[in-house]
Amino acid sequence: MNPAVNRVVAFVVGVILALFAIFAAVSALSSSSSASDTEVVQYDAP
Amino acid sequence: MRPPPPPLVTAGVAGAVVTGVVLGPALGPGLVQSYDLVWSPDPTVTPFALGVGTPAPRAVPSELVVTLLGLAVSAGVAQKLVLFGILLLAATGAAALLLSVRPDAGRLPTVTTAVAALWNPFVAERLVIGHWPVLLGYAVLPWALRALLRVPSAGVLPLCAWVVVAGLGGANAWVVVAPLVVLAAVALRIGLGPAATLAATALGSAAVWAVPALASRVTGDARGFEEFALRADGPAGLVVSALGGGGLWNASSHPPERAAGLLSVATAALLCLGALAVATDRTTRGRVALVGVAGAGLALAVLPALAGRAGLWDVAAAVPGGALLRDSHKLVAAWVAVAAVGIGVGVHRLVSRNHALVPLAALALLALPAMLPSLAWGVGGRLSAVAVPEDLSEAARVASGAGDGAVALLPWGQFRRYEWNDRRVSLSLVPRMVDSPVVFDDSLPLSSGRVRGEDPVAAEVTAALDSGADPWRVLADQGIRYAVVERGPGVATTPDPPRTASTLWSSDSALVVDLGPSVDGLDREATNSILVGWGIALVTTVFVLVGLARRVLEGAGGRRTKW
Repeated sequence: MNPAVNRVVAFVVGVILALFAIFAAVSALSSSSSASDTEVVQYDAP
Repeated sequence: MRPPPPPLVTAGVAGAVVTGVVLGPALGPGLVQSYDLVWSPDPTVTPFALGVGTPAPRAVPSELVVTLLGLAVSAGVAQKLVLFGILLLAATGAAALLLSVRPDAGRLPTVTTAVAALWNPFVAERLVIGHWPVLLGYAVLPWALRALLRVPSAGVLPLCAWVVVAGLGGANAWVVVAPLVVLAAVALRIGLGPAATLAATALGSAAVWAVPALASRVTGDARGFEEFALRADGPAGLVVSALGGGGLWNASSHPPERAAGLLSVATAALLCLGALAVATDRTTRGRVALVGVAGAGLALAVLPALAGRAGLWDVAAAVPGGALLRDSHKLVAAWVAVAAVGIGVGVHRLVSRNHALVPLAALALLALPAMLPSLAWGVGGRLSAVAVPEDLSEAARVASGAGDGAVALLPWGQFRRYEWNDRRVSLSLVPRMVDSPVVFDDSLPLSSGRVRGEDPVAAEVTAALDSGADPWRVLADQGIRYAVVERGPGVATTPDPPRTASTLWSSDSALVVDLGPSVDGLDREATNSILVGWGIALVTTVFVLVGLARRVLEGAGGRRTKW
């Protein structure tokens, strides 16, 4: 296949891996939710 | 110089990489527990896995399949294999379907299709809520459509095999694949014999859950149709949400990007362009069938949400099996799968028209990940494997070995926010861990109210508790012998058991209580309808497997088997 296509595919994989790293960092920094221990847990609760 | 790998292999590698990016921490040590995705760390063939004690079993045969897989390779490995395998199957299926309808498509279109099939709101929302059986149906659908288009040359058995694979996911996987494929097969006039074989396979693989549900004559709660109808996941409205693959009823599953109207519209526009690329490309084989299946799936997903306003939910709720139409968003799967194939067709048309357009075509590959970055890394960390406390497993083992009699799950309610699961919402693990019939509150508590369950004993317990009765007295009155009381941070507290009860196990995570024998002890065993349902499904599976084996042997004798 055209080398240009290979470069584009490599670029896309790189972008996806960058997103991967960004969200790894974001999820590591995010805090967990808090909820009362006595309330009924709802199916549509976040 | 070594020749480059075929497009499907390239798409498979890209699909595996993207699947790894999507699942991220879900592939780490431990088990993911998120909403309906609950996985016992100790694989056990429980009554729950066999559908015993549930009027309309939804977790059969899927629960048994993953249990058997877990017994073979451990629960943690089984879950990773299932999640990874389903997403990879979806990517390669869409790519294979593209290559089937456009054999001249190169690697860029094929990889674009594989990425589009993985990176979209449908996959994101279903992953968060843990609907892996729906995703199994979504993954099988393109393979089934490919087999459908090959019926004239390869026969109907490969198609039947894909329907059986979908059937392994239970009702929610089956309904995504079987009805649309059977309708398409009839429309394509594949012949009376093949169509009858396909229809029989579809019915046979559904028997395992359909026969017990029909025999119990259970009907749904009309409120459930309203609550679980497709709904807008952004400001652009219900139809735009569905066109973009989103719109699951549970708003907590919606990715944050969907709140941006422009992104919702852009995603919908891209998928529409994909469908349009298929519809307008006269060289695409089977394009009428593909567009028909996509359109039918979309219509069946959206129309119930609109039909509810005409009062049709009451009618659907009164019909046995009508509950299959609840959560119609799952049928958007057909639209998304075909649109993903169409995006590849569009890229192929662009590239083959003018090679200078490769960078523009590559934008299609980037577009969906760019518009939904939160899908990366376990949907932004929402799916992450955790360790289940060992003492909860031990409590389940004690309850399993306590003796004959039903086991109640307390606190009364099936959803939890386990501290050890970072307080994510999930179902309780206990019904999947205890090797005895477990009575639990099968109603669905929502922020807008409660959708009633289907278990009449559970309903009586709920009614008594709502009237302020003591939970231990209520369980004893129902003839329930044992109880597993989950406790710990994140779990509601339960009153202490009566002094007449004996404690079989006590730990930080659970208490196992023996309430003592009663005259009319509640016990639940496999009914005839359950046995008949399993028997029909097993015979169907064996029939298809034997047929395929014969074909392979004949192929080895000279004829090539086409899949």
